[in-house]
Amino acid sequence: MSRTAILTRRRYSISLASFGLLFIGTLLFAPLVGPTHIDLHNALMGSRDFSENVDANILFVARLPRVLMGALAGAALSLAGAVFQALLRNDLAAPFTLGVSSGASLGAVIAISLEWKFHFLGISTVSLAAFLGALGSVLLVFNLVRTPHGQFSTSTLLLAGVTANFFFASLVMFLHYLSDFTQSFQIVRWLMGTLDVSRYENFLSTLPLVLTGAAVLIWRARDLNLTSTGIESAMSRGVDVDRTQKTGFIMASLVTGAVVAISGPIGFVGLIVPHIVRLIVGPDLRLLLPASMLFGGSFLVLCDTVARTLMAPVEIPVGIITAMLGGPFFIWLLKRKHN
Amino acid sequence: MSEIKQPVRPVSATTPETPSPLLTVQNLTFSYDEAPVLRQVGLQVNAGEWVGVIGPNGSGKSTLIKLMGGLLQSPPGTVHFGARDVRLYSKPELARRIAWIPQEAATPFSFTAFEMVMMGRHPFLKPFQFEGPEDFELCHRAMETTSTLKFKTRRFSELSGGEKQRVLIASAIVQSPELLLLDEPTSSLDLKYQVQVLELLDRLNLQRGITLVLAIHDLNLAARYCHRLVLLKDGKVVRDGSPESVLQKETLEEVYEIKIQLVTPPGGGHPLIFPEA
Repeated sequence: MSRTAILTRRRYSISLASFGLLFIGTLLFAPLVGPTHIDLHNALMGSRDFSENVDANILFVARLPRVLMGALAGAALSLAGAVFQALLRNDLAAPFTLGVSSGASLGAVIAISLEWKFHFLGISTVSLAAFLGALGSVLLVFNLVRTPHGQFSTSTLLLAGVTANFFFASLVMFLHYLSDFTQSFQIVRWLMGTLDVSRYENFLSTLPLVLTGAAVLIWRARDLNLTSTGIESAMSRGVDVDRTQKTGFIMASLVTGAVVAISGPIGFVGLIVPHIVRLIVGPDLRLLLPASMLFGGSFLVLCDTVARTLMAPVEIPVGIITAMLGGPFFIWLLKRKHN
Repeated sequence: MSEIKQPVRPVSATTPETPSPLLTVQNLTFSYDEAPVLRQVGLQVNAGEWVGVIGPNGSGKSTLIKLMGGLLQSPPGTVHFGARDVRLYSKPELARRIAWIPQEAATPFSFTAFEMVMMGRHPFLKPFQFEGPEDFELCHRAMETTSTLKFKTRRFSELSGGEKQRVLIASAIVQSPELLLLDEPTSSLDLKYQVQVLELLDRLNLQRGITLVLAIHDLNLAARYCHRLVLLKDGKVVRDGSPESVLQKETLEEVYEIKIQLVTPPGGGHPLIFPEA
């Protein structure tokens, strides 16, 4: 796809407005779709008591929080994917392929199985544990692959990610094995990556974390741009590469952990979305980050709409849908890289 | 009556007759882990000079260049830019005065040549600030100077080695540096591109007064273009001076550990260096 030589303010506004329209359109459309038909007029204008208004209940209690959580999770995972790709200078990096999602899962499963239910500074312990798990795994992978000159091969990176994935997955299985029946069911459903447990509280407690991460990362997007073209060239242009890497890894892990704690490790969103958006708007992260968030939000909400309706009334966990799309996509990318 | 104040003269340690060096390296010993890569290196680079750093593989050329540009942390007091230790400059401040060009640059992402050039404006911009008309103008002119304008919309990763190197030079130009450091800019280029890049650097040095320090392998090209050569072996400065004084048969044979012949070309000029089979 052709694009101009450089990102201008005009192209920036036009692109963001287009992705914003898609995002808003998806948020308005998705809650109306589902196995049960709802009468929108009755849902919004119904004079009856809310508890007796079935249409309003389906719309506001069952569907809307789920759509909002889906949009937030999609946005956060896409943001994290785009940032990991830039920091590791590899377009196959993503929360899922790096083992960051499974690190977050491990943290969350530890918190679930130990029944840590308290809150710390308004953040649930599950989120906090997921964040620490995500950060731990990204640091593990980064230290496995890093060399003094900052160069490393795709295969090393992917191997490190696969290894981290296996390692964390086996620890999750161990905890799973030790847990009782109710916990076990909770863990299994959650590990598949699902949005059906979404409530407004989940959305509202995750939103500030994701917005904070996004604001910091977009604010520092030019530093990330330069780092993505090489560590030493970035340093020679005055970028504090060390700080950029730290900020990037911490913030991307924060948003990954925040959503994985609620929705489980929904795979491949962070891989697919930045790729598609990069093809459309180019690699400049000042635009790529917010555009990926908007597109990623829309993408996951649409996937979840398919998951809700494909085998209705049975609801498939959305993680299965994204994995079915993401697996072939990943293979296509890998093959294209080899050619 | 008001007292007439004498204009206060700026107190200067140096007089105009002896120009203060742009870059000073003093007693620099540096190691990545155990074995030192550089040992007690000392040299001065004056404004407007073109210095070539030569020496066998592993002699410490790249490391020295990176230390000069603050890309590696130098021990305190060993590398000064102007009168100040490079460690004491903020990162953007140093980047506005010293530019560094790698041997090769690769990005997996589809940045255009123009975007790569614009990255040189980074130290002049605040976080999230967009480039203004003057930045565009500077990049345009730098691409004109380096004859890269015709492929400004092409992807950097799809350019040839010589084209990439010229794009990188353009991005260094928009940094408006006083000192330009280059790490073997010609080593992966064919003869035509080698000469093209060196001619371009020669013009930057001559017309814009940019001081150049480059690591270079090809001794004949080094002799032809550089005003001064610094010969390194095992992290030590063996010779420092004019190309004629450094490129002596005995010195080169000792440093490179092979037999060498110097042959004066038919048209005169620097003697050419031939390894003896």
